[in-house]
Amino acid sequence: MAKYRIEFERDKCIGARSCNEECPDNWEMKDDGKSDCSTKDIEEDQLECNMNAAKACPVNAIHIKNTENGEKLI
Amino acid sequence: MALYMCPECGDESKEPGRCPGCDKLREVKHVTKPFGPLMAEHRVIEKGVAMLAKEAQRLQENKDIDNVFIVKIIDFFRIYADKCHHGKEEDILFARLKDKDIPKDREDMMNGLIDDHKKARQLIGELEKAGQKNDADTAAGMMKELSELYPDHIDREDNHFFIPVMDHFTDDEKYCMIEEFNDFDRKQIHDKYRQVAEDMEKEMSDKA
Repeated sequence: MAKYRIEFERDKCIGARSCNEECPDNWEMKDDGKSDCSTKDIEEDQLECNMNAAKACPVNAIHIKNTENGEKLI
Repeated sequence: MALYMCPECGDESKEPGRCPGCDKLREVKHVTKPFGPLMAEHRVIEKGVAMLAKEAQRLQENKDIDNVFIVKIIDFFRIYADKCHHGKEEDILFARLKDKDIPKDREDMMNGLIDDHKKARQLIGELEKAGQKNDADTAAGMMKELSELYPDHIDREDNHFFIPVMDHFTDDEKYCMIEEFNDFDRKQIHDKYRQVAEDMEKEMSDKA
C-alpha cells in the first residue's frame, strides 16, 4: 500500500488549473474542463508536488492522507 | 501558466511555438485562471478570520487582552490579506477590469469590494490602537466586525465576481495576469523585510 492517498472532491473542482500548474506529473485538465489526478496512491517522493497542488486548489477539493497512521495532511 | 497543443498531432507542451513533429504552431489548450490564486488566498484568510472570531469571543468572556495575538494578527491582515491579496486585486485584476467595458452591475460590485478593503484597513488600524491602549472591549469589537466583514466579502468574490469577470479577458490577458500576480508576490517579501530591517535599525539607534 502506498504511504499517502489523495482524496479529490471532483464535483467541487472549478477548473482553475492551479493543481496542474503546481504538479503537472499527477494533475491534468480533462475535456470537461475539470482537473483530475493520474494516481491517487502516492509515495514520499510525490508528496511535496501533490501537497503544493492541494494548497493551490482554490476550493480545497484536494485532500491527502497518510495511510499508515490516518493523519490528514491537508 | 498555459498548456499548448499542436492542432495537427495533439502533442502538448508548456511552451508555445512550433510542434517539432509537424511544424504547426501550437495553440493554447488550457490556461491557468487568475481567480485560482486569489481564491486559494481566501482559504488562508479564512483561517485568520476564524481566529479573529474566536479571540473576540474569548475577550468578551474574560477581557484579558493578548497583545502578542493582536500584533501577529495585524501583521497577517496587513501584509498577507491587504498588501498581498487586496493589492493583487486592486492593482492588477480590478485595474485591468477598469480598462474594459464591463456592465454597470459588475462595476458596482467591484466598487463595493474596494470599499470593503478600505473598511478592513480602517478596522485593522482601530484594532492596533485598541491593542496599544489595552482596550479589550474595543479590540473585541474590531475583531468581531472584521470576522463578519470578510466572509461576506469572500463569498461575493468567490461566487459572484471572480469567475464571471474572466469572460472579459482573452487567454493571453489571463496568462499575463498570472505573471503579474507572481511578480507582485515576489516584490512583497522584499518590501516586508526591507521595512522590518528599517524598523529594527531605527529601534537600535533609538536605544543607543
